[in-house]
Amino acid sequence: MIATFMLILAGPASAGELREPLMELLNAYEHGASAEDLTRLGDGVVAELLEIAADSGVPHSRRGRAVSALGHYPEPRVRSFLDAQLTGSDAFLQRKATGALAKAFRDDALPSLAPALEAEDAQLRLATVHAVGQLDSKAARDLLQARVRREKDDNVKSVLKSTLASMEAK
Amino acid sequence: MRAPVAALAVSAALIAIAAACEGAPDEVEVLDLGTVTLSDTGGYSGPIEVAMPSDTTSAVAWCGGYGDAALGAVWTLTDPGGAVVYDGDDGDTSRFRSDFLDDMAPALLPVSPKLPMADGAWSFDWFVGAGNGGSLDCGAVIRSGIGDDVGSDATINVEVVFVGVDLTAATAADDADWQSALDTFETEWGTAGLTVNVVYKDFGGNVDRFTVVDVTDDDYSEFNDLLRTADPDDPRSITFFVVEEIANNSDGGATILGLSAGPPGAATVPRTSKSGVIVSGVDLRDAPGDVGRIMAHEGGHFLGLYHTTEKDGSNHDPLDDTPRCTSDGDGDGILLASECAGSGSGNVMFWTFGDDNPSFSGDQGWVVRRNPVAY
Ligand SMILES: [Zn+2]
Repeated sequence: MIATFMLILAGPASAGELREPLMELLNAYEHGASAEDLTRLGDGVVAELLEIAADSGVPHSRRGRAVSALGHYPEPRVRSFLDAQLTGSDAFLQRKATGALAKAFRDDALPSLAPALEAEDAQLRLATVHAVGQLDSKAARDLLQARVRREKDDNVKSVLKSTLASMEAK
Repeated sequence: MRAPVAALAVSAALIAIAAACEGAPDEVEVLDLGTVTLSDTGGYSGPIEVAMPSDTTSAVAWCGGYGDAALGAVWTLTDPGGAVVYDGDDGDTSRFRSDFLDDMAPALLPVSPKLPMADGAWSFDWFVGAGNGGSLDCGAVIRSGIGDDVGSDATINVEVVFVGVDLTAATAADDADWQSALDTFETEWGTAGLTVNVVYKDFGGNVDRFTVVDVTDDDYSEFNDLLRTADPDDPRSITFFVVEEIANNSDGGATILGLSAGPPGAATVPRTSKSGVIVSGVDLRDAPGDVGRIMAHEGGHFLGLYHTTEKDGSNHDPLDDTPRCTSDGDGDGILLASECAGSGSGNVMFWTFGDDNPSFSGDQGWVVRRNPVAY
């Protein structure tokens, strides 16, 4: 209650003002930024996350955390940005985009995620399996089921099988 | 007050696997404390005694092997005089602390100058939750020979194992970015009086499986399995695995900068789920100093240090001289480094990156120099 009151007093922050507190959240050693943390920072978070995620002057891991944090915001501008990251050339940010897309857009993200399951990069396929595995839906299971028959990489195939098994158990 | 429910069948046998560290004035010995049976639905180990000789500096006692899905912690610690110095029921962590850990719960003495080592039999009672498989394997490592005559400097052997990153044991010594990371790591540890001896190794196992270590849905089995491969030539070492990434896909795929076993880690004990530290190498090329900072922070956890202040201010370490930040200036429930300037953000064990040149406190140095892995 006190925190809410003080936020109201402070008024909505503009995007630039949020760079420092957001970076401090993204700089945490062991944890990404939670939805609750981001909400506490007030308005303007999405715009600043988009800037941080695209800023090549920001260390890679923190850009990746900004991409992941965008998964808390199912907005059209976020969808466009994440789709662009997923089809971009940065393997790490591609992986982060898979998780954020699944988190933000649930089954609606499957058209974007399906091609990533066929990617040449085995780590991207793995990240996509984990991302799709978070979706508790028949469409998600069907997508992984179709891939598991074609997957040639032992490690990816093993994770596909265990992910499908845990989805079935839910 | 609960009653112990475990059937205790402990026979302490000295295995005396001395980690003969060249140049060390002391030694570490491994004690096999036997196997304890308990209910698979959860229970207590019952009192397990560890006899500390008069020249003991420190010890790590553990019960483990209860699986990655079960959680355990020391519930009661009794000193040689018979006084209960830690009781999980009252939650006072001002002198000793044992958080719930999966598979293996190491307990380090000392973790605070307020509870120094004393000779005689210390008694540990672990609680392990459901799904533990019905038995615990227990043991201890004792560092002895010099007692509390530790001094203000110590050396720690560090084994760095590269897993799926663009660095190898052959290239690390000449890689400017890696050396920059190492400089930062050594500078920060130097503020605790620690000097490091570094050796390199290329990972010999399934690189594809561990290049990105996945901890989705709080399933730490992949993390634990990589630590179970830690087997340094000199057991009196800390193994740092440098991987491409640590990812938590149940948190929207969020990346993790580093994770330590514990705290504390199973110092000098190889091939367990608590035998090292994993560091993300994703920033190696654009922010190598940050990789060094992560190593210093996670290595601090391994050596028995906790966050000086947690993100929400809910918890602090058991040390008196570490700064405790309480000033949430903007009232958002998050203790940011900018709000904790002068009261925590300058410490290596703050929850997030703070000042550019963080350091350890005197008490933190006191703890890490006494760890069994130090000499
Ligand atoms: Zn930490």
